[in-house]
Amino acid sequence: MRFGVAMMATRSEEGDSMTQLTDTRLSRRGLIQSAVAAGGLMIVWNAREAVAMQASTPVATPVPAPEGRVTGYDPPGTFTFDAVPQNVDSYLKVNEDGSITLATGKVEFGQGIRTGFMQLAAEELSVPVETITTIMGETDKVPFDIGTFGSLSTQYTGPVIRGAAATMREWLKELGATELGVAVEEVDVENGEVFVIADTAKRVDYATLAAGKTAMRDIAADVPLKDPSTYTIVGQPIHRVDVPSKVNGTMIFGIDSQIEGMVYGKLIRPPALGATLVSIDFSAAEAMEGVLGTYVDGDFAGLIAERYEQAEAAAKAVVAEWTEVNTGITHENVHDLIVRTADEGINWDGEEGPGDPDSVLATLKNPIKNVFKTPYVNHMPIEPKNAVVSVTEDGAEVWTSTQSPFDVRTYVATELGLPVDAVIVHAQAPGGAFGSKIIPRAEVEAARLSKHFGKPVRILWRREEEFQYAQYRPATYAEISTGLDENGRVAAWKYDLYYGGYYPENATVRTDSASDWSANIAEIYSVPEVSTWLYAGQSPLPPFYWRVNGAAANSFAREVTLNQLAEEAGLDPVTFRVNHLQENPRLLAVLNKAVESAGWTPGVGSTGQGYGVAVAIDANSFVAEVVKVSVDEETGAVTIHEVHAAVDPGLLVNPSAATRQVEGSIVLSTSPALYEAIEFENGKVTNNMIGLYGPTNMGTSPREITVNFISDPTQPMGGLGEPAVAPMPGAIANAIYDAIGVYLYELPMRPENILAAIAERDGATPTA
Amino acid sequence: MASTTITINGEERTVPVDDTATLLWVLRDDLQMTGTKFGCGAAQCGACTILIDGQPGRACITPLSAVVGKDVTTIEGIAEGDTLSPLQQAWIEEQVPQCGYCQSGQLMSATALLASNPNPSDEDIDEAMSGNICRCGTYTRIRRAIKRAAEISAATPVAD
Repeated sequence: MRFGVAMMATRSEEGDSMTQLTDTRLSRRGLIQSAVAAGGLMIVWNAREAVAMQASTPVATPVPAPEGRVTGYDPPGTFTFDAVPQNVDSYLKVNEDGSITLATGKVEFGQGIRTGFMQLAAEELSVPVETITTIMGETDKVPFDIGTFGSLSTQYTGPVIRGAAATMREWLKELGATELGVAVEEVDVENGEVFVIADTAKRVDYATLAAGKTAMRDIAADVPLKDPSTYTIVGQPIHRVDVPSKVNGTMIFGIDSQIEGMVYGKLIRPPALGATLVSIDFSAAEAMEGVLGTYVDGDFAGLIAERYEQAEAAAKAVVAEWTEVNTGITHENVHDLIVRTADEGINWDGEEGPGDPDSVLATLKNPIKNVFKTPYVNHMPIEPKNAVVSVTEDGAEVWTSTQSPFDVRTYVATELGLPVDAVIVHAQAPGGAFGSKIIPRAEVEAARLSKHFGKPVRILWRREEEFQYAQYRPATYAEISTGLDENGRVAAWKYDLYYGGYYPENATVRTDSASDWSANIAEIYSVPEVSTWLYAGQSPLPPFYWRVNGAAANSFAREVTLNQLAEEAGLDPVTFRVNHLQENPRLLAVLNKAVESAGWTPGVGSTGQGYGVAVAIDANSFVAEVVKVSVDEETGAVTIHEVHAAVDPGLLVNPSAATRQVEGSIVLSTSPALYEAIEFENGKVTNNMIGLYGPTNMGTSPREITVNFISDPTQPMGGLGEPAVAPMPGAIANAIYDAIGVYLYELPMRPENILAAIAERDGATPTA
Repeated sequence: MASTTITINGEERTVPVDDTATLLWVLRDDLQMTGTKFGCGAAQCGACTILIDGQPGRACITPLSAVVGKDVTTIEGIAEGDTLSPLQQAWIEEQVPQCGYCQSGQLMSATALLASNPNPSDEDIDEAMSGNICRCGTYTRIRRAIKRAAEISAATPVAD
């Protein structure tokens, strides 16, 4: 929990410095000024504070080196990040008509934060949820925000919104008391009105209090919050406000932006990562119907056409020669490369530093040494990357699907040589993201073409482009050495994780995308003598964050090994875990809950049906998952019949939305556990279409999912976008073992891998 | 100038392209009906699913020539005025969508399924829906919503 502690310290320092609002701050803020000009009461908070709160998590720094090329595979350009703009703040406002506006730089993509934020604000203000209007992701209307990722929104923005709403409520009580001629202690609020407690007929509504006023206050660091036991809105499973427009086709995603005069752009990309342009001939393309222009600058080559299909056809008619890429690196030998090129490593054991497992392991009778591997995985959002950019004399406007509208603004401004304020980003609903829509790509490409041709240009990536030129959850190679002491407890644990951490063209940029403090077993189980080292190796494909970072790989390795230790100890896998979770009561509670929900009855030997369990902590939420599978020994096919999850996220804002986040995490996580792996050679992805890549569908995903929550509303809000992803691979592997008596140490656990493991179990020579 | 006339949601629409143009881009860019989505361009994800004379088809690989003289139904055409279809109602009851991008296609495949099979089994749902990929992982909710829609339809008198 060290990150949580660091966050709170930062929060408190910032809070102390925020007690006054100076004229300088006010005059700098065009955003705030325009909102103030409209009249009403406004609570503001400082962007620096919000960022500091968010940035002190392990996953919140995907914005890489401060200077230099951010990503070698991006269009060339030097980006310098304005660390945190100090002149833009966020706000919660009671308008003169009593309506309430909440502006935040976060983006809604179906995780439910728009609705959750409304609930948090409505609860503290004692107003109906529908009173609140949210503005999200529009860079000229909302506060700076580092981006929507890492299960951060509810965890870190949620408390700020709640605090702002509480500050507003206290302010309204002051104003109301004055209006009603009583002391502030004598009033309370309900349903958008301040009333006198001793004479409830005396009341005044928020609209009256805001009318004719133009005033602003800072968020109060020590504002009293409502007692959670009195909540009537937070904790209710209300329907998400974004759902109706997603069942009738009216929700506007990035791809749906209709911009007057827009044309389609298409890039001519290299056949393999790392190839550079030798020559290019546009003549055939230029003669085609609808083609409006072609462009080449270094390795950046593209064209524009009136219609999408014309741009596609023209791009195919371009004759380009690229340099050969012959690295010899493939998905089959990439783990060797990663281990061979690994850096000096980062110790991940916290303030105490690494223990000394080696000396203990040397004394054990039956030490275990396991190696686990995972492959490269694509994010594969169903909406590919896309953006429309319109560059004019005054600046630029961007309509896009993004998790990071302010990064888009910075990247596009830098590309165009404009101040950031000259670029306005309209963050539309992203059609899936999972980490793929953090680093701006299509936006920069469209900006270059729009600037050159003087027209609004849409770039829309083909599915093949997503598979070949995007970013990937990197491959991992993990070694675990462990064993039991004479009391049947884990005596020592040595974990070395190697992962594709840096892309060769930009070796100074390190993406700690496999790092996650769930790598450290001691954060979860009571184990002495632990050492955890993370090593970033060279990555032949650009690595990046993929829902829950490395926690899934770490949990897979850890939980399978724990099952083996349990067997050696002669204990049921649940009992063995319970024995090692006595110092982690919240995780112990979810484990017991999931086991109870599932009716844990593991098979003995090869029954063809089995139960598996795994746990994880992520984003300050605690998760246990029990999986019931059957394995067809003839085909190697695994069917997941039931998944029983138990999750403790602390204060639960919306159980309906939260349930769906957990369900979705389980289904998404199943896909790379059982099926997905990027196959590549010499910089070229060979399974670059959905049918070849083979993600889960209706027929192959878990048949039934039961989600149980344990929620103590006095605990801080944990994140829920990612935590339930982590346990699935380990739980499935353990269930397969329970069913057929073989362990799999490599993802994905495809039928052919299971058949090979069965053959090995039965003493036959496994076939490739 | 080229032009082609097609029938979308019961309405004749004339668009300024010849009949080799792909239905998806005509819907999205000529008719501004953007509920039908682009996902892969190769009929492998189902995001562009529409109905052609009631049968599910993939708009991303369908030339206009294949739908001239036929009835095309899109996500914009399954509600009766302000009354959502039973599937749309069930989708809201079950809070099915997350990002929502694939859901137009999911709803269209489910619409075709219920039209031919008012009470589908799990296996029927697997077969009809496995071509529609959802990356947010809403499959179990979709399954429940289809069954719920079947109940709603059974309880609703059919006007004829």
